[in-house]
Amino acid sequence: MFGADEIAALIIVLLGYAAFLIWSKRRRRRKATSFFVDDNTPLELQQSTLYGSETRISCIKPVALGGIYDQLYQTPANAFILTDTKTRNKPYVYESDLIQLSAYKVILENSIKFNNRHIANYGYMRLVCNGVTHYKKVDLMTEEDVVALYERREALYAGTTEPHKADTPGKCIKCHQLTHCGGVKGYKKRGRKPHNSGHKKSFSGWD
Amino acid sequence: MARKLAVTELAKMGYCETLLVLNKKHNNGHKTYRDEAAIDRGNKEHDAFDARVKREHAPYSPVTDKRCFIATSVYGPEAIETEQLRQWRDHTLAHKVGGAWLITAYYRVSPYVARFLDRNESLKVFIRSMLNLLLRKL
Repeated sequence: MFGADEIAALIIVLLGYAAFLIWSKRRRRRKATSFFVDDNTPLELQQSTLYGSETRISCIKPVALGGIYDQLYQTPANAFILTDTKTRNKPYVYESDLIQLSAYKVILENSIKFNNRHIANYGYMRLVCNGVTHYKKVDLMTEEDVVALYERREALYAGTTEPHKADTPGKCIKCHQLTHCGGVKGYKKRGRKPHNSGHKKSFSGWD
Repeated sequence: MARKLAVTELAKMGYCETLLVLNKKHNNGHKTYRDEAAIDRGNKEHDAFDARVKREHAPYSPVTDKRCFIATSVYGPEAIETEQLRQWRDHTLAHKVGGAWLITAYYRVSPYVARFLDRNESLKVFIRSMLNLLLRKL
């Protein structure tokens, strides 16, 4: 069989190989860390593997939907997390963002290619505001909510349901359909400000 | 077959339903030069991040080889730990210099080791604790 010298040589080779693996892993981690720090990536996503990026997906059931998700990560605990990137002036998350991420979740969970795997009930919005990246964790809608929204949209287009107006007057400010709609309650068309606006009322309590 | 609705179109429901209906009614998907610039900026950010995240982030590759005799013997075939070790084998070890050789050598030896482990419960406990240590490091 093997002599003592051969066994010692084998142990040295194995130790050398283990040292090489540790060194290369540390090197890769150092390189990746700067990317994660620059991008303010949450720890959970840093520790995950990238399952897919900018991938086209679609499903027929429960409703026919299609789209391209931005990124999908797989955590070490085998959970899948969706992220979506938006470029904005302020790091706000809107309802439309939640709908978008939730719809991707519905598609993935119902697509044959994805093999009925479960997507996490939350996702991250990656908001790029003037060169600074923010990640916002958001809770996703249920499949029933997404289907209800889809059906409501169909009903709106068919004219069987009356549409709601915008929930805030701010959405009406630059809206090109304002002439047809009239704006929401509380909306005032921007014009020249009255003379005294923005100043304190002149005090006349002494008289 | 029903036409698939784009997710971005469904998302517009979250902004203003009246705007959605009026745009369809008046066939007017009006976009100002500011909207166009914002879309262009968004597309560029998407492309840049897509390229970077693919380059820098650890890639996913599906587990192609379901074998992992020792881990299967210790944890069970469908355990998360077994899956993690398979992924480490396929994602990390297989891409290292000599990794493929080491995996081949492992598969020569491991069926015998697994059979031996199945008969020896105390050794299995010891191997499990060793593998747990390895999993913590991964």
